[in-house]
Amino acid sequence: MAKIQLNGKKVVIKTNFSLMDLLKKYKLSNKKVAIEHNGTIIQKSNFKKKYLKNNDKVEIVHFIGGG
Amino acid sequence: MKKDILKIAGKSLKSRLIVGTGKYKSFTETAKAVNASGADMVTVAVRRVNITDKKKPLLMDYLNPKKIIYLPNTAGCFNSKEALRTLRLAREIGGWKLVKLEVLGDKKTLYPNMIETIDSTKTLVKEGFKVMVYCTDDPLLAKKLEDSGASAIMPLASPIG
Repeated sequence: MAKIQLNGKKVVIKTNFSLMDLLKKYKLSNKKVAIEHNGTIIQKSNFKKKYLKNNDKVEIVHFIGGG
Repeated sequence: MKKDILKIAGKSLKSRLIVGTGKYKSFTETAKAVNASGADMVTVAVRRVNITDKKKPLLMDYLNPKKIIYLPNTAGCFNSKEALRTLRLAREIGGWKLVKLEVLGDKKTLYPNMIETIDSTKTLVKEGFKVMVYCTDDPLLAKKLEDSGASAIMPLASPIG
């Protein structure tokens, strides 16, 4: 198990959990989103390759009404 | 009658109107208003996904970005760093390169910070973005933005806040 901070909230995930696994967990894998992992924007092609570890900070963003 | 098309950064717009998508009661109402307006382009904001409510509807379920041009914007950003981060994330979401840059300088009037706006425009243009820039109506600064590679300028008509 690992504890990460996801969109400002503490979340517990399984070990060897990738960013793609995280998207699937939140039913976002087929949605248009962007991910910032520890302050770095991750390209979609790397979502499956990027694994999460304890204390990682992840931001998942999308478009909302505004502006 | 000859078609009156506005071209910005290679996009052809039949309507001069660019509509905001904030402050509506629901996405259904947003979609109705946008469709009624006849606009070809809407501004959208970038924010965190609500992870506590997996069933919360998404804007894209109501406004199809294949049918209407999404213009991601940086409303609410008060410095270059925040604005650049927001637009880089926006590009990653859907591959959008056409964006609206706003770097605000004053919370009450929402006047732009032109120094940071010009710096941000230069950075974004170097990174391949097509930038529509919220700015003051100073013609010299507008020229500076044009020289910096801005695709369009969007001067404020009056204090907003």
